[in-house]
Amino acid sequence: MATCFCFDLDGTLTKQELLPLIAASVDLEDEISVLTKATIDGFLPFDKSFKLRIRLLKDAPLNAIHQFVCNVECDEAILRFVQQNAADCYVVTGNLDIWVQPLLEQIGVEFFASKAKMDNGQLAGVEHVLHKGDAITELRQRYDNIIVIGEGMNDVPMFELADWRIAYGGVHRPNGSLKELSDFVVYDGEALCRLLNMLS
Amino acid sequence: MSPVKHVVLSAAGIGSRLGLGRSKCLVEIHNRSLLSYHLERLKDVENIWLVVGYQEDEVIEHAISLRNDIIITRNPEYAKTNTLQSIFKVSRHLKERFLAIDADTVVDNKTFSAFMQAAAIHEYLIAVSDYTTAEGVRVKIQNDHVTEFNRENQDPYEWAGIAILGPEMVIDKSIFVYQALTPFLPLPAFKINAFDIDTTSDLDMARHVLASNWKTT
Repeated sequence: MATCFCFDLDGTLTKQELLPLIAASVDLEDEISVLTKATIDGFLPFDKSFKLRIRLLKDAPLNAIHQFVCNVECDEAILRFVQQNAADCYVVTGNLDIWVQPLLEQIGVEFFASKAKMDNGQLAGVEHVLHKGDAITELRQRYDNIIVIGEGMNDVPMFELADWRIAYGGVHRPNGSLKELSDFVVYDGEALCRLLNMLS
Repeated sequence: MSPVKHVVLSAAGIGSRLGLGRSKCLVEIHNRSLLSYHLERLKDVENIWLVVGYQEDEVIEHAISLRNDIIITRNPEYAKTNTLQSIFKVSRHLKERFLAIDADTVVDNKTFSAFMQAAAIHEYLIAVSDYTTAEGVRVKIQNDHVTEFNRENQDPYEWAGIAILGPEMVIDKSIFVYQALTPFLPLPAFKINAFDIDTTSDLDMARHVLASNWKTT
C-alpha cells in the first residue's frame, strides 16, 4: 500500500501564518487582518478574499517577502518528519507559489499552491486559487492511502477526499467544521508524527 | 518506563444511566475529574489515545489542558456504537499490545501499579476487581486466569473494564468488549481495586472509597 502525507502550510507546518507576516513587511498588517477575519467569520469567500489580499500585497518586493517567509519558524517535529519522508510528503497550500516556493525548496518538499499571474516579472494577481481537493485527486493516481493534516476551513476539500484526516491544533484551535470531518485531533507536533508513523 | 506503549481510554459514551448530562470522564470526585485521575496514573505511557464522542469539545478541551500530547480519536457514531468499536478505532492502527481502559472507572493507584508491573511478565492481562456493581460483568477465575465472563452476579470478581489486549482481539462489531474477549479465554487475571461508574450509587461508592483510600468496600 502506497501512503502519502499532505500537510497544510500556514499554521500547520509553520508556527506562524505567512500572509500576516508578508503584510507586516509592507505595513499592511491591519488591512490584511480585517480581510482574514472576514473570511474566517464567513462574510467573504476564501477565493475572493485571497485575490483581494494579493491585490493589496502585489507591490511588496519579492526579495523581502522571501526573506520573511524563509525565516518563518516551523514545527521542528513536523519538519523532521517531512524531511525524513520527503518522497511521500506534500505541502498543500492555498498560498501563492512564488511566495512559498523558496521556503518549500529549502525544506525539500513537493507542493501544490495557488498560481501567481505574472506580468514582466511583476506579480499581477492570481492565475488560479488552489482548490485543495484537486491536489488529492491528482495524488490519488499514485497513492491508495492518503493522510491529510490541516487546521483551516480551506482544508475541508482535502479532508473530504482523504483516507485519514487529522485536525491539527498545534498553532491554534482547528476550524470547527474541519474537526467534524476529522478522524483524529492532535495538538502537539511530536504526537502528530507518532500518529503519522502508525497510520502509514 | 511503562511496559506498554499505548493506552486507549474510551470516553465516547453518553453515560445515560448516571443521568448527569455530561460525559462521565468529566465527572468530578473530590474536585478532580475521572480523566484527570487516569492521566496522572498514565503519565509514563508514551501514547495516550483518547476516544471521544459525546460532548467531544468539552472532553477535548479538558483533556488537552491536562496533557497536550494526547491523540484524540473521534467516534462521531458514539450514540450507535459501543466501547469495543471505540477501541477498534485505535487498535486497527496498532501492531502491538495496548492497555484499554474505560474512562468511567475509578482505580486504586497502588493496585494499578502492581497490574502494570505484572504486564512485564504477561503479554495479555485482564484486570478483575471485587468492588462489584449492580450491572457489572462477573468473571470466573481458575488458576489466576479468567475462564468465563457472565452476568449471573455469583462470582466474587467483576471485569474492571481494564485490560492489556492485542489488536487481533478487537473487532468492529456491536458487541461488548467481554464478548469479543471470550474466544481468547483463558486469559491471565490480575486483581486490582477498581469499578466503573454507571449509576448514582456507583458514584456515591466512588466518593466513599476514594475518601477512605480504598479501605472500605
